[in-house]
Parts: sequence; C-alpha cells; structure tokens
Amino acid sequence: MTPENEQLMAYVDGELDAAARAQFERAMAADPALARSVATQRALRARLAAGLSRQLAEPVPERLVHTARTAPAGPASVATLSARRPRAQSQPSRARVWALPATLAASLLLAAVLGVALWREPGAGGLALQNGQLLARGPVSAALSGLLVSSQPADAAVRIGLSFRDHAGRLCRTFMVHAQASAGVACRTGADWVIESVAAAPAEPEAGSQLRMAGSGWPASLMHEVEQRIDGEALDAAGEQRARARHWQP
Amino acid sequence: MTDQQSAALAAFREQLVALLPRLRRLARGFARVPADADDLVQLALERALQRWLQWQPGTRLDSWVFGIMRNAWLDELRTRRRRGEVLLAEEAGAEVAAVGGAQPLEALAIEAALHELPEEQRMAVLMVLVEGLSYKEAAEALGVPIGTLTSRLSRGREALALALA
Repeated sequence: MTPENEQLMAYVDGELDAAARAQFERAMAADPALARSVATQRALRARLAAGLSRQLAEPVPERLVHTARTAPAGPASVATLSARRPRAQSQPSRARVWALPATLAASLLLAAVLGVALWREPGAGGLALQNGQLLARGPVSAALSGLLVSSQPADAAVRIGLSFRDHAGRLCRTFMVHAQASAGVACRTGADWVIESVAAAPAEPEAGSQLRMAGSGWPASLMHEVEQRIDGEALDAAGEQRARARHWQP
Repeated sequence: MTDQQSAALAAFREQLVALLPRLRRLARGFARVPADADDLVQLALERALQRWLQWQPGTRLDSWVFGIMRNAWLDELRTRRRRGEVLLAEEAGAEVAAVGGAQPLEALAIEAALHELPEEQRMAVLMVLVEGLSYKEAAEALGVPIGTLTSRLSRGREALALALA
C-alpha cells in the first residue's frame, strides 16, 4: 500500500485528525484525480452498507432473543472471580512485555514468568539456553514449527496467534501457553526458535470452560511489541502454509 | 449475586438484544449460509454472557462481541476442516440462492463479492466498512496489529471494487 493510498483510505474511513484532514482536503481540491478516487471509495462504502442494510430489517429469530435474555451468565461462582480481580490489579507489572536482552538474568526471569512447570517436563524440556539466547524446545517449539493459525486445534496447549516477518527478515510467531498464562514472540533463527519477548496473558479460566476461547485474549502489550518488530503485515493463511513448507526459513 | 450485579447483568442482556440485528448481519458475512450464521450468533451470545464481567462498561460492546464472534467462527472453521467438511463454493451459493429469493440482485452481488475475498480481508472489510469500527477497534476485535488490518482492508477494497465494477 502506497503512503498516498493509505492516506486516502484513512481519510475516507474518518481516521485522520483535524490537521491531517484539512491538509488532505487541500490536496484534494488541487487534484481532481484524487477527488475522484475519494468519491469512488466513498461510493464503495455506501454501496456495501446499503446492500447489507436489508439484513438489519429482518425479524430476529425468537430463539436468539431468548438466548440473550436467559443463557447462563458466568462465572458460576462470582466470588471466585471477584477474589481473583484485586490480585490481578495489585500486580500491574505482570502486564509488561519483557523484551529480552540475551542475558542469563533475563532467561531466569523468563523462566519465572512463563512458569517453570512447562520447562521441567522430563525429557521434553521447553526451554534451552544456548549462546546467550533462549530457545524454544519441546511443546512450544513443536507448536511454533507445526501449527497453522487456521487449522490448530481449539484446545491446543500452545496456541499460535499470528506469523510475521521482522525487520531482520526472520519469520516470527506469537504464541500463548494457556496453562502458564503466558504469551510471547519467537523468531526463527537458523534451526531454532529464539524467544524474543514474553508477556502475561489473561489467566486461564476453569478447565473445560468455553471461556478459554472467547475473546482474543492476546495482551495489548504483546501486540505493541509485534508492531515494533513487524515488517509489512502478518502472513495470511496461504503465506503461513508456504512458510511452514520452507521450515520457516526466510 | 448482589442487586447491583443483577441489575448490571439485566442491562447487559438488553444491550445484547439491541445488538442482535447487527450480530446477525456480521455472522452472515462470516458464515454466508443463514442457518449457520444464526448458530454462530447463538454461540457468540453464550460466550459473551459467560464472560460478561470481563467487558469494561464504557467501552464499545459491539466490537467486544464481534471479537468473540470472530473467534467462535475461526473455531468452527477449524472443526470443519478437521472433519473435512469444507463447504464447496457452489454448494454454499446454491443454498444462498434458495433462501435468498426475495433479496434484490444488488444485495446478492455484494454478498457474492464479499465471499470471494479471503477470510482475513473479508473480516477487515466487514468490521470497518460495514460495521463502522475504527481501525483500532477493528484491529483489537481481530487480534492483529493496525498495520495488518489496514493492509488487509486495502486489498479487500481493491478486490471488491473490481468484482462490483
């Protein structure tokens, strides 16, 4: 997307601030072709909205109204949740993303944040320290190499959020370990996945609860981290498939 | 539950009821087949109610529920793929034609063009151009960075403009 095009879309979508909007409108007044492009984009927006607006007028099935008014509201035990909330609030630092300098101190911190249980699995070993870098091993590494966002099981222990290329050209992926209430970014470096940063993810709800899948649950701080690292945009489903076929090599 | 909580829950439920027409429209944009779409709305409602305490009053309820619905739909797609139940495009089209007899051609053309888009682009288009979310809200609902959202949106727009020209 060219910067001009990006500006045009942002203008049509009402995303520009007052100053940028005024500037864009001056450019538009001086450039009939630009004004035509804006008109075309506005027409497309209006056409979509008008074409689909009929659906808003359709009568809503009674069963859906019934569900909204009567389906059980969670959590079953309100006391449990309210007991959990103050604790989460009293630990604001857990919401931070720890960008990792490749030092032992950071590694120990990471292990603590991610929770050591995962990494202690006999024989599996979720984490390895090598040449000052933290490498994913075991289940995390397997998920990073094997799972596609579009086809991963809903109940996977390690879930992948998105895949992208970083400024160094490496392929990186966000991952979440529900059981450890942790999420992170790992980048493929040679034959390894280097863990670049981790963040606290929302704690896992009761086992077997549908809550686990509701909402995206990815920490905003991690998304910010991705925005700092990403070159271009996240891979789509086809791009991921190709990247996996290349074993995540650049 | 305290009286205050009961009142808040009752208000939350009525807000969901008020959102139903838009939830159904968005679900149709995801699932295309109307019966599937209403099942998806049902699932999104159930999940939204299960975690209603996690919604922050004062923030937009629509984009919050849209995000829940989007995840529910991705789960459904995964399940279908595992079962090998990917609907052929023609089958889906035939079903739409059968139930959509009363719809004007324009609406059918738009639906068809939308469903030609890759899943990611379609979601971006629906959230921003149809539901009117800001880039930030749409990016959050879809769980992607804003740059990714705008890029998908841009490509979706180009494809739609071509298809509907």
